[in-house]
Amino acid sequence: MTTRILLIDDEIEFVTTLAERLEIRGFSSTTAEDGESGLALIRKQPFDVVILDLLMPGMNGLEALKQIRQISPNLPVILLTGHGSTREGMEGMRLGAVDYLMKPLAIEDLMEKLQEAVAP
Amino acid sequence: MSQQTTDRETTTLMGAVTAPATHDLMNVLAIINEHAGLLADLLRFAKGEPVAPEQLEKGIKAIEAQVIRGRTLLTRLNSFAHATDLNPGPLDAGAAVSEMVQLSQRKFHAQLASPAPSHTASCDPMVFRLLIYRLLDAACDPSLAEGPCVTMALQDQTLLVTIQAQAPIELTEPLTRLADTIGATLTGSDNTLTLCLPK
Repeated sequence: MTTRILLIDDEIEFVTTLAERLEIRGFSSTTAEDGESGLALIRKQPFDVVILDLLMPGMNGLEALKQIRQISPNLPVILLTGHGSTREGMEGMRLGAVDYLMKPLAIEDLMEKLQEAVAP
Repeated sequence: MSQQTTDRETTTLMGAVTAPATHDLMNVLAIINEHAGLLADLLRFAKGEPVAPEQLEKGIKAIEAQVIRGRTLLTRLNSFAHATDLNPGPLDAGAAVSEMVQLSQRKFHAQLASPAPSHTASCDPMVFRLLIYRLLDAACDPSLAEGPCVTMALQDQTLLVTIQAQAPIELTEPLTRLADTIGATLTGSDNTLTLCLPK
């Protein structure tokens, strides 16, 4: 079965290009440009994993993560951070994210994290 | 305001401005990385088929656009980093306002409604920037998607910086005091703050 990924990031150019790369690798990708629309999609349709940016205008990634945990407690979330330090990512894992990656991404690292996140 | 307090606050300003700007630079690199990666993917997964020229052109144009974005951001950051090279002044106040509006874009979503007029003033360039940052902060309502609107004009050798918010702005005593320290005056009513900086 195709893994369904939701990508939430306000950098549209980034998220649509990454989605295209994931599609090439056989994933099904849906994008959202802010926390609110990402949450609306999670309420409406099933996903296997969420890739969520931490720093977004309006609702930030950590706030979105808390709400995802309430809507769908078992949905794996991988965080993306543009911060130079790991502090924000660690904070996200404390709040229930399965892992985090720092931008710019190495696609091989993301593939590894995705496989771990959806492993039974 | 004591010199020690001002120094501490301008140091805090350096962090407040550079943190989101470096985050934006990470995004610039991330986008370039994804487009370069996509081009590599297209070649790798093409299985002998030629890659469509439009697809290549799209990726190249996107990378070029991000290089311009990154260069603009770095130019502003560099100008901000050199702000204290000549202290006191002369300060190009119009350019400094533009720089602060643009560097704090991610936080305050402020818009420049007019081009920056050339206005040279003799005042502490970092305290001036701190004041502009504070005014934008006071005029920004995080619950609203739209940020304040900044207009600049010259009148009788004085730079008028008008900041129009979406909601009423409180003209606080620390803001007025900060304006005093650089010889500027600050007035406000309802949704508007006006800063007057003489030559």
